Amino acid sequence: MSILPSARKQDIPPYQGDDDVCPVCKSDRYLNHNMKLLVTPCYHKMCETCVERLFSMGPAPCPVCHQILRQSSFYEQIFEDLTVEKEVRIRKRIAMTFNKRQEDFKTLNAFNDYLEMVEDITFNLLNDVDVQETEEKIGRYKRENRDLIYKNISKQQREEKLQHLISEQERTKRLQQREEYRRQLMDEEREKKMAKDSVIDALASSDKDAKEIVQTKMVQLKRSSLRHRDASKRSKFDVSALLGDLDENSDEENSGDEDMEGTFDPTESPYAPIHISMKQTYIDPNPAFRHPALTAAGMSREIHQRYLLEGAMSGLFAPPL
Amino acid sequence: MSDRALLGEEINKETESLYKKEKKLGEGTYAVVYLGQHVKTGRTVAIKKIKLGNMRSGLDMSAVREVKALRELQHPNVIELIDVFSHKTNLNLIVIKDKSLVALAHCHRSWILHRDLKPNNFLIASDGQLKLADFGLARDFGDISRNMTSQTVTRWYRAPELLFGAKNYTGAIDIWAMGCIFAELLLRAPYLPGDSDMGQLTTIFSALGTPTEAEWPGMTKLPDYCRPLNALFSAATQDVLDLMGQMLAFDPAKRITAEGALRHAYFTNSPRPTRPAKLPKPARTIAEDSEPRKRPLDDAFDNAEAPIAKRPVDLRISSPA
Amino acid sequence: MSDKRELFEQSSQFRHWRYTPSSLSALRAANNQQGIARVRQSLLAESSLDGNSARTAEAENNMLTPADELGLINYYLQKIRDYATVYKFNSTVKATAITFMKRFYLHNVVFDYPPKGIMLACLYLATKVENSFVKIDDFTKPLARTKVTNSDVLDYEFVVTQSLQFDLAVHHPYRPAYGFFLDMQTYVEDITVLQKTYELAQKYIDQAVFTDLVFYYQPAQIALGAIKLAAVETRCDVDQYLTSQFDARALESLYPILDNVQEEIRKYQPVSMKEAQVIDRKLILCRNPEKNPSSSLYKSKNPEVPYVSDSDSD
Repeated sequence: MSILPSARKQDIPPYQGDDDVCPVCKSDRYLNHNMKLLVTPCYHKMCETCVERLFSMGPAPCPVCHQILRQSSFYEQIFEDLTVEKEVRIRKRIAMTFNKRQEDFKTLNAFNDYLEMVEDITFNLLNDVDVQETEEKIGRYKRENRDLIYKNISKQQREEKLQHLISEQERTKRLQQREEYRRQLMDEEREKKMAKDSVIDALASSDKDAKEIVQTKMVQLKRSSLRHRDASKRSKFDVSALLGDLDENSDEENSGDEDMEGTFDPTESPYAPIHISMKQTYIDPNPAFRHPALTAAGMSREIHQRYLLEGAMSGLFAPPL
Repeated sequence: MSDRALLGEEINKETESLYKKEKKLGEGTYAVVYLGQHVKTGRTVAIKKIKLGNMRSGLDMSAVREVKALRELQHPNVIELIDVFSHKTNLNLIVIKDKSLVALAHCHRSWILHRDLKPNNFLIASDGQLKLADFGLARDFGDISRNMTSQTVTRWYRAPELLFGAKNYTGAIDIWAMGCIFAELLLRAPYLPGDSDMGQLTTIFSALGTPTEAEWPGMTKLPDYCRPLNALFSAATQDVLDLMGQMLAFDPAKRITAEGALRHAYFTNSPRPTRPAKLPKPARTIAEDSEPRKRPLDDAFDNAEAPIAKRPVDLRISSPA
Repeated sequence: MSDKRELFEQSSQFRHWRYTPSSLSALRAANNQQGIARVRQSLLAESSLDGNSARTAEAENNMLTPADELGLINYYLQKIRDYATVYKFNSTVKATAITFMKRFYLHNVVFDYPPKGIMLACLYLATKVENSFVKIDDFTKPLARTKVTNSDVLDYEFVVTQSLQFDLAVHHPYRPAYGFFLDMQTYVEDITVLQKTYELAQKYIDQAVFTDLVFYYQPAQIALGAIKLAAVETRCDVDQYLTSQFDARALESLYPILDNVQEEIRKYQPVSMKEAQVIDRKLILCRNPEKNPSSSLYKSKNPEVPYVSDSDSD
């Protein structure tokens, strides 16, 4: 399979019709259960057995159009319509060479001119018009733009790798969230049950007024559910993505004059915190910390390293204007 | 606005034309403060006119420090430098006339030291907001490659590591100053008024005891009498004493940070300091005064449990000592 | 909470000094045009003063293009680096002075202020801003050979500060680069390779400071681009660090930025003295007499006045 890049993630099953008949040996699926029809570069079909029979000794002419073929140049058909197959193959091949992007051009017009040229070339190849001249054009273009082509290929590969990573990360994140949510539900259930049990126990064992007992228990319950709510807010949780119908609890704006545990940010900063994970020790050849006067004055390795790491994370993902 | 950027001098002229100077509010050794108005919006502003070029070496270092720091800090409790323009040999800073620790936490988060905290540098704007001002000695920290001067901060509020000549320090020096200010509010008099640099150390040690090598690694031992904090501050609550003790820790590495102080029980135990909007407003606005208005601080903290000193706070923008 | 801003967004660098490549070149082109128009006007005024009209034709034939202006400015940026080395200023002072000069010429033109004079003011101001203050006498002493006086430096200090709109704090890629050096230790096994990469990256950052990258991207992005560029030579696997440390979706938009950073650093070419001399010769003929203290026009508009102290009537 020479020209088609392998479809990595989703392997498209090859097209195999039920009424397939090999035009060369005239056998069909009834006779040959596993008959696989392959296609030539000149867009003619024949079954695998014929391919082996005719081409295993080396290159030989195509039985239909007599073009010289090799065994390796056969491939499996993807589309039912062979003209579609041809177009897809040609476009894929062109795209590997003509891979410029809009940012490689100074003006939009220049980019559009380039796209038109590519279409012209594609049209020629599709309809077998001026094939030799067109192939020469392609060869010339390849030579003149070798560096840019290579650069854009690496860009594309990197983007594909990233896409893959992104979907991987999202999948694991979703799984984790589901797990967490399930665990949380279980915890809540357990607590509720425990609370109910303790109310019953208290009612049974103590001689206090029943209403009083229930009231204290309710207060305790409320406090613990508040704690849970805060904990769930603090874990970066998109439960709504899973359930779609949760009501949004508004956060700090609502604190008003009541004392709500956990919703008070003492620094009242209008700025988001910078999250840094610091290692225990870094190798830092900076000789400054050899002088004990530095640490006696309050400057520590940790503070200095935090200063540096915050510098590295500040605005790292800020989009340009 | 024309399709090119204005020339440097034109920007300056245009900015100057936005403001109308009105009456004089106060005066220091290197600056005069006027009341002014934004011509188009009518917004009341203070215009701090700094005399430049008094230095043989051109632009005054403290003007450079102040402008550099204020242009970088954007926070509701840090005095806002809206505009700067210059006229002949003067630099005019436009500023708008709780929260002191909140402001300080933000400065330190932005890796900027104030280095001149004292009661005079806290202003109360007409909407009741406390604003931290006077950044004439401010400086960035975190980068340990440059030495800093230890001759900073007004003596009575100067941290021990500065008195010991530290050449590279952290926000801990601001916290020490804040601790002294807190104490001063309770005592209604300066807490550690030393009469010379050496005398300052003596004053500190006689009040807080002598730090040990274990308490503050890097310091030499001195025999001295240790007076416990409690005896002096009879009216203070335990929370206040505890917080002050942590702010006046000898080893700057062990001294509480601004953020830590904000999380301290003193601030989180109810009742909280009143929200600024609910503070009683002064009977007359700044505009109606020709003299700077003296305003007792306990008007501001009416609802706080701990009694706050009735020391008047000067609204004049002062010069650094 | 997503409605909180990011801390770096409060800096004046982020708020006031960001451009796109096209907006930057449009700005320089527009400034240049206006500058030329003003020069023409002033030349006219001057020739009516002293009757010399040959100057006008000479100027017309030697008008600086935006490319000329930029070339001359960039040459003197290099000179700032050379001076900073002689004075033994650290890279932060040097980089701040360079950025000051680049910003200065976004609001001024070479016709009015030749870079030779502005350069020293930028350097001196940078020493104040970056806590490396030097008394003016000590600053000009090493320059005695070139006959530079105190006022040569101080006269321009103010117009530079004005043109910077008093945005004095500049953030450079050096600090984030050091931060990345630490952070990458979690993922890069070989510390010597990492160290070599970091040292080479610093040289690339030295180059980056001369480019317009400071107007397009954040210091952390420039630092990382320089590290990637260095990593090619030292064979350090930066991609592995990036994909392990950061969210892939965020990396998607970061990678093109890093590509552009590497490209800009790669294609940076210093300006040679010869090229600068050619432009300088043109400048002598087309300099704006209105701002040139030695021209008759300037003298007629700025007669010597005794110093008057400021009163409140300012």
